[in-house]
Amino acid sequence: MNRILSYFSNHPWIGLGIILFISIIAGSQIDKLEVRISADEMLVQNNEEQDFYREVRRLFGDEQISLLYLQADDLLARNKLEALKTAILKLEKLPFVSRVESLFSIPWVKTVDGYLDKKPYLDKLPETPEQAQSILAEARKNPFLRNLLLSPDKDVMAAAIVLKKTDSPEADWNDETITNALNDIAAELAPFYSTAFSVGFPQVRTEIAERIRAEQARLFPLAVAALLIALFLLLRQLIDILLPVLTAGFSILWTFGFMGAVDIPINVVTSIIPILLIIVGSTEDIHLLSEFRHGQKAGLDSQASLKHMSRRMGSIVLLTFITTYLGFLSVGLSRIEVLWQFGLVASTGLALNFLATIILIPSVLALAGKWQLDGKSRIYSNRSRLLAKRYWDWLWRHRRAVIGFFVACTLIAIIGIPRIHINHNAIDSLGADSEVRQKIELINQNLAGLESLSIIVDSGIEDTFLKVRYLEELEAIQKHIHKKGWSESSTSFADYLSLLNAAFQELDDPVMPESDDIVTELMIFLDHKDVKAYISQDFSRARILVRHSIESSEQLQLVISELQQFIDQNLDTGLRARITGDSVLTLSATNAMISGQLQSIAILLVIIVLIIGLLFTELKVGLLAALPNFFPVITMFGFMGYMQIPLNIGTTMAAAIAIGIAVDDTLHFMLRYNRELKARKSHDSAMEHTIYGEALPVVSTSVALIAGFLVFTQASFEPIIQFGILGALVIATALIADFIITPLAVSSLRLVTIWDVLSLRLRKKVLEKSPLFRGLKPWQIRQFILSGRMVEYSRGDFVFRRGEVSTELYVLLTGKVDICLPGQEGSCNRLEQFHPGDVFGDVALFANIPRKTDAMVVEHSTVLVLTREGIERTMRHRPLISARIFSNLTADLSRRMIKLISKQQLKAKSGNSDKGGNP
Amino acid sequence: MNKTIRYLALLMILILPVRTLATEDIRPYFSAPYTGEKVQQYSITLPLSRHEKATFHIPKDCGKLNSHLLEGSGRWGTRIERRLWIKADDDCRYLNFLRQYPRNAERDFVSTYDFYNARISDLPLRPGCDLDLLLRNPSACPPSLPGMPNFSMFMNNMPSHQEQPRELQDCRFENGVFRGYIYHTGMGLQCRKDPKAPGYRILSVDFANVNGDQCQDAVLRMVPIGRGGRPSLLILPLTRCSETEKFSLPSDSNYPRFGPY
Repeated sequence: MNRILSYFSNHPWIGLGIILFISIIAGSQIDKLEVRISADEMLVQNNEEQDFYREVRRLFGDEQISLLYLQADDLLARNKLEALKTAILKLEKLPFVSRVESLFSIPWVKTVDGYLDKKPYLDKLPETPEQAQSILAEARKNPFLRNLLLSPDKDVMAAAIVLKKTDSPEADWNDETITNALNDIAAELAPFYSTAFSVGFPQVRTEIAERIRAEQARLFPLAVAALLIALFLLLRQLIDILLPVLTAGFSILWTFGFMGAVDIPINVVTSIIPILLIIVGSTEDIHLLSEFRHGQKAGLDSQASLKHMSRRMGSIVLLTFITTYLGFLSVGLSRIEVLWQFGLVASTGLALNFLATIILIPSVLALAGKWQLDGKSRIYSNRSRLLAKRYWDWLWRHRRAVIGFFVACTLIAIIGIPRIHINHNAIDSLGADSEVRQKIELINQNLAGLESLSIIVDSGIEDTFLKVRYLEELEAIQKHIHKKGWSESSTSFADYLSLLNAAFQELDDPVMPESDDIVTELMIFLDHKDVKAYISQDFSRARILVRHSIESSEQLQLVISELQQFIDQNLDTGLRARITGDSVLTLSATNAMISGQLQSIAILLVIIVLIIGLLFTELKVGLLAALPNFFPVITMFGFMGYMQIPLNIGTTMAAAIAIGIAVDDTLHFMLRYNRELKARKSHDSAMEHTIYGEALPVVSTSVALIAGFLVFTQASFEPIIQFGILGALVIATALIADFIITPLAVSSLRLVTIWDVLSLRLRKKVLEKSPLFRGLKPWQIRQFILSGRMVEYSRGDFVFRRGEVSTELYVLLTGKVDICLPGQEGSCNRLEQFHPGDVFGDVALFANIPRKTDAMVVEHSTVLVLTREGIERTMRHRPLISARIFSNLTADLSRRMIKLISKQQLKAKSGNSDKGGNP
Repeated sequence: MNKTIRYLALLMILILPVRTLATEDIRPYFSAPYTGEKVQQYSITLPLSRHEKATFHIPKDCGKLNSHLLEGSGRWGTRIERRLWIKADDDCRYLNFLRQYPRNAERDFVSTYDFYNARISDLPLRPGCDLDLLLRNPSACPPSLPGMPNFSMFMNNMPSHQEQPRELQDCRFENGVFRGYIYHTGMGLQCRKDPKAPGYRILSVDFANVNGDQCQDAVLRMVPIGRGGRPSLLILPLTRCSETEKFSLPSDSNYPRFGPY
């Protein structure tokens, strides 16, 4: 990554050329992009449940209808009926209409002079109001009309418009053309009825599509403005403000090109990706720019600052990109089409954004990095450093209270989690002010609703449902549904037979045939195509079609569970029943979506723990690093519980995406802390410098992200609004956690990155030659080394001073260190010089006495510092290694003692000879 | 003589079509399969074997239908298709029953009678017997008419003891429908009209000479209506040879018959 950044720093025009080339390719694909809301996109793809429903639809036909809703005082007045008849004729001529069911077409099953008559209720228009009332009264007895197309107690009726399948070969229509045509015809009826409108799922989808288009135009500038304002307030550098916007712009163009090329449409969920790219894509840019400016503030020129930026941030931005990418990709693990489309497009978009970032930022900075709006950064001042120090001191002093506060907050949030409810309803997402939603609510109030489900009862045996006993099973289920009161309309083959039976017996109300013989007699007057929606050709499978108005997924789940329980307990053992239908699939999709997203969050957190654990070579570090990211998730779910925000397509995505983003700051923080720790001996000093160094980029990115997420609150889809609120909440809590939990969690840790470990290879020979590690295998050496930390010292630094408490021993990896006694005027009387591989500082450590000497760095050195605790820990966990280490230490000490004695003897001898004594 | 023979021949030529017309004119109504509509002819597609089907136009193809039935085709198809074989066959049989004697009867005292508004007592039906009467004096309950099968299922139309009528009313069909109760009590035949009660509907009245005698016959087709009724058909031929006679069952006839539609 460093090389890539350096390459484009040195070859900016090539970088800009690549950007232009990719943009031209993407631009050529963009015309293929379309806004498309599909009926099936919210459903679980390619699962057994959907296959079953597909089979049910093939056998019994579609459940879904559009309704032409009509309300008036005298519903069957002649002028109204004539207008309605004309409207229905027009509807039937529309190419996408399969048929229209109304009082003009639904058969009034009766006998005339003893012969069956199935002419529709309005075969002849009523001549008098009494006649009209009589027809209405009769129609209200028909279960195929009551509550479905005719209100039982209000002056409301409807016509059901059954649409042709959109996948039919001659289909040259879409939801929008359907909506417009139906609305036009409904408008023609407006002068005749107090209320007249057409509504159905095409209208819902059209409204969603229209809103998406409107919102793209409205929210996009808002997101850009939010980002610009946030960047301006924090960075105050024109280029730094424009570059994130520029990279976001290119990545959006490329992403649209990708969507066009792979035929992924803009839908409710993918429509938020451009805005997300503006918000999320800016974070890496800010970190890179921040490091670049850091270099400039340190007095480096543009090229040197770019090198500094590449060296310091190259690997980090790659790593943080990977975690964010995984966050987005985890959403795509879902089997729901919109979610996997979102996961794929958003993660690809993010990858493209990263590509744009690593090309554009070094290229533009190489060309224009020297231009600055103002040369002074208010953030990087001594006052800021002092503030960082004071903050860390305060935090450390009050750590118990702070931890207690966080634990209390977490507990409060956990208590709120069980209050979360589920709601995944496309109609609900439109919000209370939606005209389509208001129309649907009117239908829910006065008719049985637009939602539906089917209960498929199957015996596997031909002619089963020509037997009264099994028809009664259907009736029992229907009675149960009616008794429970959640549906105003359930219809089945048993209802049709009851109507037919009542017609032959000339009864006022439908009655189930009393015997199988009667059913057989009735069947000779029944055309299967009249009951195709309810019974299979061989009468082995029957469908109970239930219309309802339940919008809450939770309530629907309860209702279906209860119904399934009733069926399991009461249905004849020879029959099998299964509940399916649009509602059920939507519910399954909701469950799959929620479990999938919770799974995604879990997987993501595990991946984050593993990545950080691997990065810092210790799982515990990974777990501690995940703490600031667990906290926002728990807070978010608690907030949802208390604020009655439901789990839906928007809110389930929020956590996974936000964690993917939030963990970046944690990583930046920890990596900087690791770097500072290597450069400084003290944890406190390292932490102060980390807080000071990360404050600007972390706060900048977080504020930009929060502002960006809050843009979504201006959307008109409730799940998107909720996504925005929760996203902002997660980023805000993650920001707080990053500056409170992360410092406290990592301050006591010894951080060793995988790069540190890998770089040990370079010193392999040194380590293998070291007397401390003699007889140990390379992996044993590495394990032991991980219990220590590596510190770099410059020439003249002291590793330790005389009189200091001894808690550490040292292995010199590079450079030279002199052990000396302080001489006059601060001079050093060298006792011994250590070279790479040598161990020092061990005598005082094991004797548990203060240092007797100074250890001064003669040339730039890297020292492996092993603490007493680390050694004791190794003794406990790796006794074999520690036994060998102690053996080696003993040998080394003995060797050094012999060397010292020899030296003393030699010194004594030379002293004696100087004095003329014996040697 | 030759002239006489020529006249006779001419008379024969003239009579023959009249006779033919007499039977061809009998075009009863049927309930069409699948729709139940009132029709005089219908088409029906029935299975002849596992993979073969044929369409019959009833009544034109009654002969063809009968041949296939004799070949055993009626056993093919689903339960409903097998039932439809029977229905088509019944309709053809009914037509044959009406047309079995090509000659019209010389005396007709039936076609002028308004069967759709017939008095119950004019019809040779066997109403149910009051339970009390049946227990006290079974012989007081009138026996079935000779040749009349026991249609108790069809006609045993009795109210419960508590619902016994307080006043007698005229027992007659009205526009082909009678809904109420007909039964014998110790006081003779009684009835009570009740629009909610089970009853009978006369589907059709066809006139034909069904036994080839000198008196024209009427054939009533009736169905039970009301709760508990079933879509079954009573084919009841009636005759009388004088205006004052009560209707009786024609002799030498395979009917009446009570069975499926």
